[in-house]
Amino acid sequence: MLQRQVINHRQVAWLVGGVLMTGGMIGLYQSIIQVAKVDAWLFQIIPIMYAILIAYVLLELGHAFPGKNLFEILFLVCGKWVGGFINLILLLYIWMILVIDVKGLSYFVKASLLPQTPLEVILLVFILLMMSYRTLEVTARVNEIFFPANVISSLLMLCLLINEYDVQRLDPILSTSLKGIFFGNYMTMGMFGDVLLFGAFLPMFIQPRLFFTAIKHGVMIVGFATGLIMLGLLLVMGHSIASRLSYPVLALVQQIHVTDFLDRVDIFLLSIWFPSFAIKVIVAFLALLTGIGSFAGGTQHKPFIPSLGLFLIITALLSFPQVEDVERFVGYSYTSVVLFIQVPLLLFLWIRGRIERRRAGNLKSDLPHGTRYNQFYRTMEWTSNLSILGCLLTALIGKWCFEQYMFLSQYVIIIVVVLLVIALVTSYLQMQTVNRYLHKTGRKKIGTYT
Amino acid sequence: MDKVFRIIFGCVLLFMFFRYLRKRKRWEPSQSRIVGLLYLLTFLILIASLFPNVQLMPINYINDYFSPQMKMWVKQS
Repeated sequence: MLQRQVINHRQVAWLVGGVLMTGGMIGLYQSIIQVAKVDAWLFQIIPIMYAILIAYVLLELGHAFPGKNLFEILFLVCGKWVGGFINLILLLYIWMILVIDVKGLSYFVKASLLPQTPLEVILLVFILLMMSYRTLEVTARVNEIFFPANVISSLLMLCLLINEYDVQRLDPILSTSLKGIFFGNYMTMGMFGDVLLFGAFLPMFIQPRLFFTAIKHGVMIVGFATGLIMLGLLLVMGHSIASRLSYPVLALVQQIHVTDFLDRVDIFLLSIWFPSFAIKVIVAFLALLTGIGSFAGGTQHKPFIPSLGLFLIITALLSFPQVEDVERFVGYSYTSVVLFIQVPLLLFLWIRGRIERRRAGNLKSDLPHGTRYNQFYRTMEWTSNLSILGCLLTALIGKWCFEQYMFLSQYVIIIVVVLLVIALVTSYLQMQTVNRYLHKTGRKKIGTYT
Repeated sequence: MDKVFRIIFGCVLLFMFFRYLRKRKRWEPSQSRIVGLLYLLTFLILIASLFPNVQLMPINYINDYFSPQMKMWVKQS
């Protein structure tokens, strides 16, 4: 059933954006600020690299096993029993994502919009909504409306808060220890690791290279947008207040005071944010359905939906009895669990993918050497990769110079933001180059796996 | 979990299970087995949730034992 659906590169990029951007907004920011303090705005640099590495492994798998999803590949490579065991762990991982998001979002809705409604009812309605989406294609189309609205509203929020900014709240920039900054990055890696969910939909992405560039662009959108939100949060509230709040982003929206009559702007923004939050859960639910479907060997996922929905309701209700539990888990345990599962799995899959490609003699580049498309693609690839690396190096050099030349630290923010913009633009150009080449050569047709 | 919700949830589960028993002959055997297993797990978890002191979810275990250790380690370093 999934093989017959096709989504384009822009939808993939925005889906990745929707999945990653909303992941941390509920329970992660406050934990990062507790650890990284005034330098929490550097929280996304290592996670961006990690997410791109995951996308690279998916690219290899797309080349090596065309038309197969992550679960089918594991069955193919490891056999029925070992493959089944690894797939079971992957299913537990996706179930964990679902439980965290469903419960976290229910707490969030209860706190922000429906304080009198029982949590069970909010959760039930939310899972019913999730069960109504049966294909990624529909989800991608819905996301095409809400993801741009989410990004624009977030940027608009930062503009409307301009009268609340106080640069002194960021001082002294880069004063947190290197370990603190590293732990801030470590905590976010779990959130960016959710890119692996897209491995469940590999057959839908006809051209692996285009899929890779789309994921990279989506990751860059999230890295840039969440960096700005975090910077806004620190500029408006400072690290001491933001680290004590349960929902710092909600509190940030509530700080908008443009005029006397324009009150409760948070209601407008929440109406845009809520569908965006739902998109992530729907993508995870569809990935879980695909995984369970692979055990049955069938292509029809419809019979699993009611039973899986009921299972999710009861398990989500029994998990995380308090809202603080969600924050604590997302902040301090989630990344460890994610890395424990993902790192060996990705390493194994990458090696198997390379072996399979070498065996099939399928190691040649997607874009032929010497063509202007290839040259431009390589230039953009290098520029974006060096920009991301440049962000890390700038932060390290700035931190190193902090004791001697404190005035330099304020330029670090400007350089990092500029480098992130360069990486964002070049990742877009990278994606467009592959897309144009595929259009020109006529390889972008449904059902052609190359 | 609220008592009324638990009763309603139990009734819905029973209804869906009987619906599954009627429909399962039309499905592939492997599909039918997995759906049956999911219903069985849900039913067992619902029963176990009646005992308030039973810690059911593995997530809660990790959260209760691993998160505080990790938090302490991060704050110390």
